[in-house]
Amino acid sequence: MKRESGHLDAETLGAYIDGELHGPARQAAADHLRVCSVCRETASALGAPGSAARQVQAPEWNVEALVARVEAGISALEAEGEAVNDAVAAGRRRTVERAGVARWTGSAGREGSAGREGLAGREGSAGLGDLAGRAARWVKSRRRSALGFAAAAVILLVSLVGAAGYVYRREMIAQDRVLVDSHYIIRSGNAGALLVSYPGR
Amino acid sequence: MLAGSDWACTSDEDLARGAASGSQDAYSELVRRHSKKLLNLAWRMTGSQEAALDAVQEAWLSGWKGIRSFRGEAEFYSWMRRILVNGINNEFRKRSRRAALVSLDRSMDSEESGEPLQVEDEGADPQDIVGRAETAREIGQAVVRLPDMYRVVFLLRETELMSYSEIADVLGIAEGTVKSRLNMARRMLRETLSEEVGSARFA
Repeated sequence: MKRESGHLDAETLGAYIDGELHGPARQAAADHLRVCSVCRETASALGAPGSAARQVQAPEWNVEALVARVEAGISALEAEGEAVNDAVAAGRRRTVERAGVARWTGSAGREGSAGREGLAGREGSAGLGDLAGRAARWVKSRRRSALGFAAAAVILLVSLVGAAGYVYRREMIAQDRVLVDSHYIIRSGNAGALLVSYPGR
Repeated sequence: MLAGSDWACTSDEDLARGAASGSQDAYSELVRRHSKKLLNLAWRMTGSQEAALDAVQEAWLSGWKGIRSFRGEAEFYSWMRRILVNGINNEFRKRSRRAALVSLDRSMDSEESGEPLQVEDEGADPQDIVGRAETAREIGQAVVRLPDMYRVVFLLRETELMSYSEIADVLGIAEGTVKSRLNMARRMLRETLSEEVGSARFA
C-alpha cells in the first residue's frame, strides 16, 4: 500500500477518493492523508480529470427522433418475424401441393387450414405468434444443420425398420418351432422321441 | 392497459412488464425516459454524436428482443446500460485499434470544432469560466484519445459513478483489473493535460 518513499501509492489513493477502501485500510489512508501534504496533492490531482470530465456538457439530444427510430426498428423486427413465418407456411403449402397424393393433400390441407384459422383467431395474442416467428427464424438461420438433422433422421428410420424386420422374422421362426414341436408332442405323447427325432429343432 | 397519457405514473418495472407482454407503447415510454442518460454515456464512450445515436438505438432494439429476461432485480436503467456498454465494447473489439482512433479523431474534429464544449455557468468570474471550459474541452478530447479499455472504465467510474464491483460485473473483469485500469487512465489523463498546459505556457 505504501511505497518505499513512505507515501501512499496512486492505486490506493484512487480507491480512497472513490470510496472503495474499507475498514483498517481506509483508516490508515485517512490518518496518513491528515499529516501528509504530498499525498493530499496527489489525491486531488487524481480526482481532477474525473471532475473535469463530469463538467463536459453533453449535446442537446432529440429524444423524440430517437423514439421514432426505435419504434420503426421494432416494427421492422416484428414484420420480419411475420414475413419469415409466412414464407415458411407458404413453403409448406407448396411442398404439399407438389406431392399430389390425395390422402397426403387431404390430411396436410386440413392441418394447414386449421393452423391458419388458429393463427387468425389468435392475432391479438403476441405470445404464440412471437414463438412461431422465433422458431421460423431459427429454422431459417440453421437451414444447413436442419438438412443434416433430416438426413440423420432418415438413416435412423431406415435402420430401425431393418432391425424391426429382423426381430419380427426371428419371432415368426420361434413361433413356428413351438407350433411344430407341440404338434409332435401331442401326436406321440413322448417328449423323448421328439428330441431324438428332431434334435435340431 | 393504461391510456397513453397515464404512463407518467407507471413505474419502470410495470412498463417493462407491459413491454414483455407485447406493448410497444410501454416500451416507447421507457425509451423516452432513459435515452438522454444513455446517449450521454454513449457519446462520451464513442466521442461522436452519430455513433452514440446508432449505439443507443441498437441497444434499445436488443432490449426489446430480450425484454422478457428483465426480471426487475436491478433497476431498468442499469439493465439497459449494461446492454449499451456491451454493445459498444463489442464494436470496439471488432474494429482494429488503429481504425478506431482515426474515426474517433475525425468525429471529434468535425463535431466539436464547430460547436465547442461548454461548462455550466455557475456565476463565477468570466475568466475562470473560460479557463474551466478550456480544461473541460481538453479533458473531453483526452478521454476520447484514451485506449478503449481504459476509457470505458474511467467513464463508468467518473461519469456514471459506478462502484468497482458494478464495473467489474458489467465488463466481466476482476475488481483488481478495474482498479489498475482506472489508475492507468487517470495517470495518462494527468500526463496529457500537464503536457498540454506546459506546451501552452511555453509557446
